[in-house]
Amino acid sequence: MWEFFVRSLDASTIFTLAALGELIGQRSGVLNVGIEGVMLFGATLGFIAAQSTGSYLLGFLVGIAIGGLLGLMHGFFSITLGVDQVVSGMGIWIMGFGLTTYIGNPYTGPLGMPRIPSILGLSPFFYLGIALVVITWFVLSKTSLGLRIRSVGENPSVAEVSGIDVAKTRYLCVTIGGMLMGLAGAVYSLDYNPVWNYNFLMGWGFIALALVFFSMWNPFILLSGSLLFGTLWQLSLNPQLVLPGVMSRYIWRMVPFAITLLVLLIMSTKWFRIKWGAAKPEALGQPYVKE
Amino acid sequence: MSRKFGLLFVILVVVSLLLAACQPQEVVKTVEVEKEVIKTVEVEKEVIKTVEVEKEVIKTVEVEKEVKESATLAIEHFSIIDGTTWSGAHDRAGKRIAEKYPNVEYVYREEVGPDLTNPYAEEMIADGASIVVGNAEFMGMPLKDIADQYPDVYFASIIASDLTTKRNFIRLFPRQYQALYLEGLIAGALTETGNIGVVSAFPSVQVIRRQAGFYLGVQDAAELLGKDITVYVKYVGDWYLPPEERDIANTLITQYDVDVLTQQTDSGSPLDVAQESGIWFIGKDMDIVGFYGWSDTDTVAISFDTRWEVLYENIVKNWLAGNENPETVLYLGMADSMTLADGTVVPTVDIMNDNKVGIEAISPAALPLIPDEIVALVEQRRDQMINGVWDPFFEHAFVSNGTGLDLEGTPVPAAGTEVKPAGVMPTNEWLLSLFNFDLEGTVILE
Repeated sequence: MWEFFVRSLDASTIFTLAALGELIGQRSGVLNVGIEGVMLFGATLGFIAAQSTGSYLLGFLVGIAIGGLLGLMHGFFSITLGVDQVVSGMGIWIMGFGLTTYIGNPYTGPLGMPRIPSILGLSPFFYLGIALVVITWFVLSKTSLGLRIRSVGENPSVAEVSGIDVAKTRYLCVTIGGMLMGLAGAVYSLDYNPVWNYNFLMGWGFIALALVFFSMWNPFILLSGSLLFGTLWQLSLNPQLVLPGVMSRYIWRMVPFAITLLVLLIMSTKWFRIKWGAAKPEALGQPYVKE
Repeated sequence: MSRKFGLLFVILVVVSLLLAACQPQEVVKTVEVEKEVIKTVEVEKEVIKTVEVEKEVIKTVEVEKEVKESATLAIEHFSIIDGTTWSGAHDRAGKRIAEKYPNVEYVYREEVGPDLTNPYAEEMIADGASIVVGNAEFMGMPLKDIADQYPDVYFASIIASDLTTKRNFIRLFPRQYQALYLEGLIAGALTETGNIGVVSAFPSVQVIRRQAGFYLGVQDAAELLGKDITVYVKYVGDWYLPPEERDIANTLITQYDVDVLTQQTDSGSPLDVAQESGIWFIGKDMDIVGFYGWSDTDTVAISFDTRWEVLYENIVKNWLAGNENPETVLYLGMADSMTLADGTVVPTVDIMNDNKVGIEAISPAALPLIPDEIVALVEQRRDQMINGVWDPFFEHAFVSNGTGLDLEGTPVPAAGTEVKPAGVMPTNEWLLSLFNFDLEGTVILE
């Protein structure tokens, strides 16, 4: 029971960190669908830095730094140049897939460093993830900075009139968001699965993206969604432990993704939006041009 | 509003906890009780008949062959080469052929999907390629479509389950099950819990055949040592899914008490989990310790190495000799070998670990844990297979487990069906394209 739950929580930590980064960006109105690419970069360069220097700290710092840089790049395209945010994000993902395969190939194989010690049987990043969720919620809900972020995500024109620098606020959010995505990648490659292989994330970034919509842009719902998805992920891999022979293993593997799709479908209905309130930032995905 | 979110948060956490709580604390094993059953067996009587036999008169006809002076071996790799055991072994094979034969050049393309197989092949043929190989079936098969357009070129593709051939479209695979049998002997001797885990890709003829070789080795070790050993196989869904491979390896260790782990997948995750958990790992396809340095012999008890160059040499020699009708199904094993440029003789497959072969390849940390009779048996069976006088698939009966892969016209035989008796060697065609069931006793975790 405990080992199974630990693995679920460890998996959920990756989703939490990456999705939190995406949530912060989206609350300011910037959508980054390149989350998988940012995570691949953070994971690969963090892995290379740690293996080359023997320092975990350096590995995580490199992962966070490259994530921040990619967030800035996405900000430059989507905020300064005003290009389509989906196109810019897709570009980052494709670049991440191709370039990390090229850069990381010579490093294929296990990390070969002693494992990061756990705290009470859990990865220390699990606790960090929870702390970051609380901090994010606090900043977004209880501070003037949070109010500025939410206002540029809802109505950038009004925010601008109120004296808020929309571009600066959005840049801040996409950079911090990118840093969290890079950290999520580094946690994956240095702690969760410390083995470098090409394209090793296999869609985890997209799951994190879906979790942001699932969370209705609320950090606590995001955390619980991550926990649920981490558990479902484990169950879908090992259905024989719970309901042996009930369904084909191929159908079980679909379950987490099918549930995500179902939740997104329900959330997109008018009934749900009225019942729970429309939490989606109104200006999400729309480039802001100062009039 | 905030109460609603709070309620949703609580519901989701509770659901997660309930789902996690659903899994059982321990695995219940089914114990099979042997029953003595008296069977009536029909015994064939030897009857000597006088039969007239037509004599076939063979005439010798001289055929002119155009002997070629040089060749270019072009390998299309489905994946990248660096850090991969499959394409890495093919690449090493191409280089070894070029080293041995100065008149043979080796060229390659990486990450070739089925849509690129033929465009790349035609490009390389235009540049002088005389032999074009696709190193996986899914992307090598399109080569048959252009084989007729280039009658002077040999095309070749790995066999996964389809055995289509043409005059100049060759299919090839090594008898890896022979080395896997030896690995099974060692794994069976090493397990203390009596549980061995296989992180596997998906049911296919290739996977089932390789697992059967390993399983037979484990069972022979169990019989010799009087152990009760269970082999658990858990399918991941594909050859390369690192996160899933890691989680399934962890499940095998924590839920099924596995203390020897192997894989029929391609990522390094199961190896890392074995190392982290302090259990033995059995490698595949290449010597991952000696060639890649991914681990050490404190974790990797044994591995096996595939020398595709033995198969490629056969193809290259035929092409250079101007043979217009080469053998189109190559299924070479330990009895077939090649002498490398440096004089080393390498069989098509062999157990190998930390650049050592044979008994010496067994990890120095594992060797003292393996009873002498098993070490002697590994040595004996290896020698016999190298000399071509013994084969695990000849020696053992094939009894179906009732699990496997339904093929068109060949459903999985019912559990308990003896598909092949002991002492009979299955045909290459059957082994390569119709062996679709797990052997009785293998535990497939659904």
